[in-house]
Amino acid sequence: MSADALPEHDALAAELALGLLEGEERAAALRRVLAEPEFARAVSDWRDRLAPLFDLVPDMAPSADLWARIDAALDGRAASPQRTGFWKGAAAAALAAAAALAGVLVLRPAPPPQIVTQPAPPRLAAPLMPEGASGTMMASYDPGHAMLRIRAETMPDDGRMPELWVIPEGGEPHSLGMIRQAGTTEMAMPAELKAWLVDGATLAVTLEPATGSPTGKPTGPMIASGTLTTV
Amino acid sequence: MTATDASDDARARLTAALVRAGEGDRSALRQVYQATHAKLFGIILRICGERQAAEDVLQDVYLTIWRRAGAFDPGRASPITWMATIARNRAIDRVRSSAIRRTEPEDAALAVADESPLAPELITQAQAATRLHGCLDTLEERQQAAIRTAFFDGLTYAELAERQAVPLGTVKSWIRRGMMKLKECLGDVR
Repeated sequence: MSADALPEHDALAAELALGLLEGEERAAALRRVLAEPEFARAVSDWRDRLAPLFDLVPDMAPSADLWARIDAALDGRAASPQRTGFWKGAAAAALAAAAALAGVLVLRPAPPPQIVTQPAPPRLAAPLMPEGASGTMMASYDPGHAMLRIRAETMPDDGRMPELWVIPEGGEPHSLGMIRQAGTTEMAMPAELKAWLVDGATLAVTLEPATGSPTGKPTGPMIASGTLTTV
Repeated sequence: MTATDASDDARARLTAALVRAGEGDRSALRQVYQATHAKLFGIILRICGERQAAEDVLQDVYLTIWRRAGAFDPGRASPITWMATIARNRAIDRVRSSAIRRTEPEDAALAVADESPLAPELITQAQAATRLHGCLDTLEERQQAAIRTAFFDGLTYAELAERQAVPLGTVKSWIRRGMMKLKECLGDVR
């Protein structure tokens, strides 16, 4: 059997597995992973097919002290200066971008930055990059108080409401609740959701019916997403 | 002991260490680190192109592995593929979330051999590797190059088109045709 092309869903699965997609195309494909188990399997099959390519990447040696840095981070001791500096820089850049956006829109005075370093436990933050018409959103999580804050500036207004999800790496999306279309939403996280809010988890916002997704899984378009990182 | 036995043995030890790490055994995580960090760092450095950023990602990857090891399913994936996929995805996220303009790797050490594969070591069953490389060789040169570059460098279609100096639609058609042929050649993975 020889077709002219892969079925569209399989071609898309291959493109997502390779990381070729960006912007709205990527958002749409990710949404299908969440909503369609068959599509999710197609993506994972492509990853398996390509996995032997990892053999071709030559081994490289990181700094000799890297294990010590990891070991220290596991203890919750201060992370290395380099790492802290990098993520702080990334968060600051994201905040600056969000603040610049707020300035352009002149909707309200930009709230003071919420990303501050505290002794322990470290806070997490995620700039949620827009997919399409919405603006950048900034999420921050304070594990000490189990408080999640998310600030939105502009959002498509089509009668649906934004719902926030956390997607653990390689896992299923869990709803964190509905958020406001503009301004800051503060959400106290119950114990069962706290476990998901860790460094590396993905946050995503989809548009859902006002009462929330009827299925418990995202059903509407994803409008923003980002990765939680320690700041 | 044959090479295949040695590789099976190494994989079994790595799987066991990962499972123990998932149960909270930190010495097991260290064992996982020792067995895999050079491979994962190679993958990440290739995508990030810069040591400092790559080390940040590598550290992050092992913290992720530590947290997620309990969810690793030995029946579903090989341990190194599971970890390599996390490493690749995190490196891609890192590069795309920063404003770094990526250029082609200048460092010869970052270039990936595109001829005969290295010893499959832990990564995959030698058979699967042989089959994939054999199938890749049946593709047109440019299809093969586009797929390899996308995989190793973590590029988007737009970046790939720019680097190859061809229209985006052209690159897309190379990839899609190449992937179709690859799938036909490989047969069912499940």
